[in-house]
Amino acid sequence: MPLPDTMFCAQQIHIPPELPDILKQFTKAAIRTQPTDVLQWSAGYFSALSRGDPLPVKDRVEMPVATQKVDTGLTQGLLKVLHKQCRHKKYVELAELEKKWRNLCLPMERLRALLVLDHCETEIEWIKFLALGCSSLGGSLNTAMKHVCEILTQDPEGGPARIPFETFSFVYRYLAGLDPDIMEMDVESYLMGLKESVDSRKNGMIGLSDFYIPKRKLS
Amino acid sequence: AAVPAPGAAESAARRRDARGRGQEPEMPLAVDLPGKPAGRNCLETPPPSGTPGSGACSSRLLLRQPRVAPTSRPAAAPRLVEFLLLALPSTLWLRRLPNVHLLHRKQGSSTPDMTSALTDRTSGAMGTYTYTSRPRVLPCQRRRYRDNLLQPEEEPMRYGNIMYDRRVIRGNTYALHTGSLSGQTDPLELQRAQAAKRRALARKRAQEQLRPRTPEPVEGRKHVNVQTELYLEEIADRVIEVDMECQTDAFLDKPPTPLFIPAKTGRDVATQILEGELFDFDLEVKPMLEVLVGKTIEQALLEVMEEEELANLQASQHAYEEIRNVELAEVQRLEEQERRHREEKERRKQQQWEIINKHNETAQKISARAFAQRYLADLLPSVFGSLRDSGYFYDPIERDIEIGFLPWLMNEVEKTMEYSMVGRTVLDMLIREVVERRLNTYEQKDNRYPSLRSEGFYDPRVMGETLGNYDPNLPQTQEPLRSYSQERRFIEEG
Repeated sequence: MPLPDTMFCAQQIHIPPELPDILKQFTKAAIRTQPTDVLQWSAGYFSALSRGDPLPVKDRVEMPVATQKVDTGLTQGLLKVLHKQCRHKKYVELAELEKKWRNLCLPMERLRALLVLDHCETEIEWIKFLALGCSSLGGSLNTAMKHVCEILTQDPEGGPARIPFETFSFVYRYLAGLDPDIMEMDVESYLMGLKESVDSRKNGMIGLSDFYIPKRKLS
Repeated sequence: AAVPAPGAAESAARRRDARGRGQEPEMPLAVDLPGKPAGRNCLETPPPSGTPGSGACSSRLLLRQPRVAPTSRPAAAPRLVEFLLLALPSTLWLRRLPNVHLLHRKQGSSTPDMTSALTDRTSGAMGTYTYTSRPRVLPCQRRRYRDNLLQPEEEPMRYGNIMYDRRVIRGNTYALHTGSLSGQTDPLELQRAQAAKRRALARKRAQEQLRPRTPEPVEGRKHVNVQTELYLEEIADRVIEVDMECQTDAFLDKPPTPLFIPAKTGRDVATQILEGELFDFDLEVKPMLEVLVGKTIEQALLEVMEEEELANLQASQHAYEEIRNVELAEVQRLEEQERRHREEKERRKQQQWEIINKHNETAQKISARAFAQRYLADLLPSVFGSLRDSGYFYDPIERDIEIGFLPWLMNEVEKTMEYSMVGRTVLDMLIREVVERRLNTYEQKDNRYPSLRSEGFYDPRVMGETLGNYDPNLPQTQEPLRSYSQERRFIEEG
């Protein structure tokens, strides 16, 4: 009778049957997300996995070209990940947000710089933080609104990316209020103009095509 | 002729044997050929005939046998024999009966070359077969009796000396032609022999064809050779046949091929291994881990790529759909605009057409009016003139006077005049009456007073009337004239 804890050959090594699947999913997530610090990200991944929270995984592979220009490390995909993790709450605690931020291997300075814009103590309204993140992605207010739309929308990727007009106007007002250069009158008139065109379509949803005219690609 | 022939052959054979396969081995055989019929008979007849030892006796027997039982013998037998002789000289038949005779005879007289004589003769029957080492009868395996000890080897194995074979050319080949010629017999005789042989063959063939054959055996039977000799002999060296039976199993499936286990090589040795000496987990787990990790990464990469591709496709599809929707809306908008424009255009066109039509109409009317005016300007006076001329424009009072009053007046005048005329006429008639009466009276008086007449009143009318009285026509013509003039007078007076 062989001793139970004695191994004589490689065939005796037992692999848990769920290990390959977990490993595969993890590998896929890692490939997709491309974290700069894999270890940090893995800790976040597995803690989220064990708690049953939404995983810090990007839906799509993002080419990191866009981020290198502004060198923030923050991308739309990462914001989307954060949104996925936090959208169930209206207010997010800063500590939790910080943890999540770190798990995504993003620099803390960046978070601080973002939070400076909104004066808050312990928690921040999630939609505002999202708006701030989008505005920090670079570009004009319109580009930020485009990012907001693309993150918040329920439409499939590449679709019209529609969001409720209330949300849109809230985010727009918030972002415009942060910028001292933009007059409130202009904001209101702009929103009124948009509202008319949105109301004409009755469903109260505003899409990318309503306010964002992409630059024509050189063909 | 038949009798001496075997003898001659025999003696020739013996002589040859004595000489130990002599120099000209085939010559006697060739000479033998003319005596062939007997030999042929012997060959055709069944086994026991082959008793070459006593030539006369045997040949007599041979000759007699076909005569004795030509029909009782199976037709196939001679042919069988011949076949056996030709093809299998050492088969059963030759081995059997001649040897029996041989053995019998051996006890009496030792004729060592008997079998050779037999073979000689059989070979002679074959004719063309001339090789010296011809097929022989096999020595009998089982002997009934013990061999004579004195007798030497039963059948010394004789091999033909190839140097004496006729087919082997010896010596100088230049002299071959003449040498062979000299060695041969008279060509004429040879020819004759050949002719005879041909004839014999032909005869044999004809006979064979003519001879009735035994019918084929019926179903379930078969022909068996029977001994028909005078003396029944036991067939001694019959091969004992035993029927054996064996039941094989029904077909079984092929059993599975047993696992091939190579034969063990090397030597078994044993040694003591302590725990942990043989198995290093870290080392052993490495390939497994490599496989696990490598496979996982490979698969994950593949899946990610595939999903990315699909997602890209989907995204582009959605984007395309979005663009398409927008463009559709735009197209619809443009179409609507176009439609409105078209309608507007149509309406305007219609309007313009109406205006133009009205213009045209007006212009036409005006021109027509002008033309008519100009045309009628000339026409009116003439029409009025002609109408006036033709009396279409009149004074109603005047016309009434003309139409109503004047005729009435005329009528009234006429009537009045007629009354006056009637009155005058009546007056005339009265006058006439009076005148006539007066005339009558005058005449009567005249007759009384003839002077009165000339002094009386003179009146032309009376004269005329008087004249008229004479002419019957005159009063009638004078009357209207007078009335007319009277009328005229009335009118002028009135």
